[in-house]
Amino acid sequence: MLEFIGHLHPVIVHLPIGILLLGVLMMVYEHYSKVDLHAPISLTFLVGSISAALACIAGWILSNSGEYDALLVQKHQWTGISTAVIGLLVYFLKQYRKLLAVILTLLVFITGHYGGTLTHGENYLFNSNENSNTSQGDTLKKESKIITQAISNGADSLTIETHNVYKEQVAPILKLRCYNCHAALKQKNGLRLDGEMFIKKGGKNGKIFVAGNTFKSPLYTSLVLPIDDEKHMPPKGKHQLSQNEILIIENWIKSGASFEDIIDTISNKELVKNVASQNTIVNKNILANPEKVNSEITETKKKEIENNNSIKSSVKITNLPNPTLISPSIIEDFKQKNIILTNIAEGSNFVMANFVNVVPFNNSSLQALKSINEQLAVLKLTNLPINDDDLKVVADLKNIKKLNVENTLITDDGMAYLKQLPQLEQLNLYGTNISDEGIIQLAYLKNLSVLYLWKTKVTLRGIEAFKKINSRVKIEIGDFKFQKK
Amino acid sequence: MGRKNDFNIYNQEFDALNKKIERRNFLKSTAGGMGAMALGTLLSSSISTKTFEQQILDALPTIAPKAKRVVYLFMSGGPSQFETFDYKPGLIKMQGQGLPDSIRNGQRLTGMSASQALLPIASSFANFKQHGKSNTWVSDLLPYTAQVVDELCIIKSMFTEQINHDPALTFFQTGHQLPGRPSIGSWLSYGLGSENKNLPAFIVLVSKNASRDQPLYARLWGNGFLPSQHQGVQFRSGNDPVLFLNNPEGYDGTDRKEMLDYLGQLNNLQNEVWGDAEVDARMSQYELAFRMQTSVPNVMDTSNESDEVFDLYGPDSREKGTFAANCLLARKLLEKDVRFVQLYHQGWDHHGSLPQGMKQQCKQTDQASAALIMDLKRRGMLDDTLVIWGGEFGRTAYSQGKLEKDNYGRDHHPRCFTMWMAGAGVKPGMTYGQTDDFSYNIVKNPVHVLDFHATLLHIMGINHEQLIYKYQGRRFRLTDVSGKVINDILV
Repeated sequence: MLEFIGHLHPVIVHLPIGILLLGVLMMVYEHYSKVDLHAPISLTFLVGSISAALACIAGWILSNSGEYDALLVQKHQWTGISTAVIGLLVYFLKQYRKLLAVILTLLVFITGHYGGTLTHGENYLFNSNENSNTSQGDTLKKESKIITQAISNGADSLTIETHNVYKEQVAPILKLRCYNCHAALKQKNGLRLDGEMFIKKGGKNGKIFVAGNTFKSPLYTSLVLPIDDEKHMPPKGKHQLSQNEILIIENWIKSGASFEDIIDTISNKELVKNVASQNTIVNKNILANPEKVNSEITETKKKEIENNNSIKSSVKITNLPNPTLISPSIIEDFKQKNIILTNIAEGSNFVMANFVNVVPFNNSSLQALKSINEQLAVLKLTNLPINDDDLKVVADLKNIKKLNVENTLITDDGMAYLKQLPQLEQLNLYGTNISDEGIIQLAYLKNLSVLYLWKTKVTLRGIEAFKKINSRVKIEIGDFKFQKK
Repeated sequence: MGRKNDFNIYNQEFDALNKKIERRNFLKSTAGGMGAMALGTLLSSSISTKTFEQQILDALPTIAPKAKRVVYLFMSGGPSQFETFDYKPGLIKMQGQGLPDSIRNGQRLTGMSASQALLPIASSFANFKQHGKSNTWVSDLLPYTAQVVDELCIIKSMFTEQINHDPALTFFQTGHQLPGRPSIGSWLSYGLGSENKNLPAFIVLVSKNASRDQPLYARLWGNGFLPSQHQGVQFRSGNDPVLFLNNPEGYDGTDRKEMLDYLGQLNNLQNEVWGDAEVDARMSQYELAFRMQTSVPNVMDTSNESDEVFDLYGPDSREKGTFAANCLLARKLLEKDVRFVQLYHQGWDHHGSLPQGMKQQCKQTDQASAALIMDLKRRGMLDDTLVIWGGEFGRTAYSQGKLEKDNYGRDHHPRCFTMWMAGAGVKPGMTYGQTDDFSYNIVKNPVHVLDFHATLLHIMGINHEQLIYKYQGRRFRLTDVSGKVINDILV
């Protein structure tokens, strides 16, 4: 019950503000219009002072919840009490009424301002919506800032990148959307979010996050609960988090909710080049269209999803750095050749090339792939008259993860080219003349995980020999038969 | 004032026309025939204005797609869960007793059994055994499916809101019980496009050997308000797989090509002026139809298939138009990278004579469904193909009409039913969800039809909340305003 009276404070405070100021206005009016308003003015001040006193009581109860900045509460409390007292004095001391009314007016405004600061946070008065938007833009831009240090060391160069997801991405969101009620000034539910220590400590109801588990982290769940839910944050009516912002929080918790810097080191000249060019592209994108900034984050999310996959998954989003985007002119070029290019996933510039429309096939269309060898991760050459010589071209496509060469003319000799594909994970050889000699060459591919060998000349003995060298690969020989019923 | 506006070209109509032209140019300047999203991904760098292009970018897959293709075996009529996958031995000793009110719990009944004085519980006439490493219960009416049960992800806790065939079917295929929305295949065609430029992205096959107890309508594979080239194309058995595709008698192919070229020019002129998406659709359909004159007979020809393949799919598969032959054909279409193949097999609506009906239906579909999975698997296609099997609702625990020892019927039941998925993106050998002892209510992990849609789109790499189409002033999705991805069944 007491708590309830406390919650009435924001309702009651508006009574004295209105009534007392009305009294003052009536005095001004009386002064100029020479009408006798003596009795109604007295009544107004009496009622106003009583409502001020009631507001004080409710306010005092509310402040006991401890959710507010103590110093500020004290200021608000004493100005508030003064307002009530002066209000009464205005009622009783009629001879000093004019002087006291001026003081009273000032007090009402000061008290109101302190109250406003408690509810809406500091600077609320002059902080328009426009400002908050630009600050959001700033944080998004900051997100993409990557501190890149290049250390030249003879032939090798080394790049060090430092990220701090919490500082660069999470904290700005919390500041924008949560600090109003969960920071130094106001600590709703005993919770502060304006610092690592406070976030780790949690609120009255305990911890607010479990690293790696979003579903046990109220910091995340409260964001995604239906807006009408009592526990939804920010409360209905307040400015809500955008999808991107929620995604950032989600990914941060999933990746372990770290407050530390993460340092990535990449050596090897070529990769540095890749990374550098990739960054410029990312930055360009951001300038053109800030909504896409979180592609980096979705990428980590995807990696997570992909890493959990069993053998059945299609190609993993590779650990390699994202290659440069294929230029529109090259896409047009492939279109003319009837080769379809599709990105393997959003945010990734790796592509799949499908030759299903390439009729008739000739080697030159295969040669064209060299221009996208950096981006090509999946290649589908099913049902084409491909021979071993054609595979020579394929051997240069070093980033291939999945290769479909089923129902083609390739033989064991062609495997010498395929074993040069370090990233190869899935290989479909069904319906070819591959034999035991051919597959044994593939056994040393350390990333290979699935091999399709139905309708080939591979024998069980050949598979056994393969498994002795490489037991991780799942081999499908298509020996399934129904038991007749 | 009104006069003045008439002369101002920057009015709403002008704006809309402008947008259409922008959109058309955008689609034209990209890889031909690909869907909105596939296009967007490749072009993301060259786009800077936040217009239609931005909308497409917003609809990009946010997750890596697991499946590139889908084959949906739709068991139209509502197969009984009691005689297939949902084993309820407890019903045997309650045989003939009335369904307890506490179980029915106010469920509305159809007009067909609402007036029955007694709703007598009917136990399943089929026997169940556990199969596979997953020890999954499967009825002996499905001996072949039982052998591939370790590939299946069986959902026993599907539920819908519709209790009659047409609204339930329409709901399942389009996400809404009223006709007019795009079907699943159309959404996928719109979102992902076709990889094979010689075949439609969305192809429909209807079994001719099914007893057609409930009708199917072409609007079930309609494009709704999406551009017309996304509608499903039905392939029929017989000499004319796609109606009106062949040239009329005495009409030469080169003439045809010439005619189409001129027609294309005329359409282009219209398009320059009006920028109507339907003109685009019409042109792309004419062109596709021309290419299909050679590609369709090719893909429909099963004469090169070995005896071993026909044996796998069962004896029916040699006869064109049967469910088994359609399964084999579906595999051939998927091999050609058709995005979405939808099979329909009618005849599952067993209000009476259920034992006899179920035996026949299962016999027609069991082996080929299982064979399709294993055939895709050995070809390395199950990795990126999703197979779906299921109907529009389930059936009641009680008998509609008189309950006899070996003869009974079951009425429509929306509150729970079983379906399965296999292949790309779903956990093999899994059973998800649980019903009560009467298979009347769901007790664990309910999956709404729209949840199924959300999950299906997720597996195809699409966030169901972002694949939208603006029509008549609002944004539409397959999952409308709900649907959640069932993460538990995903690998």
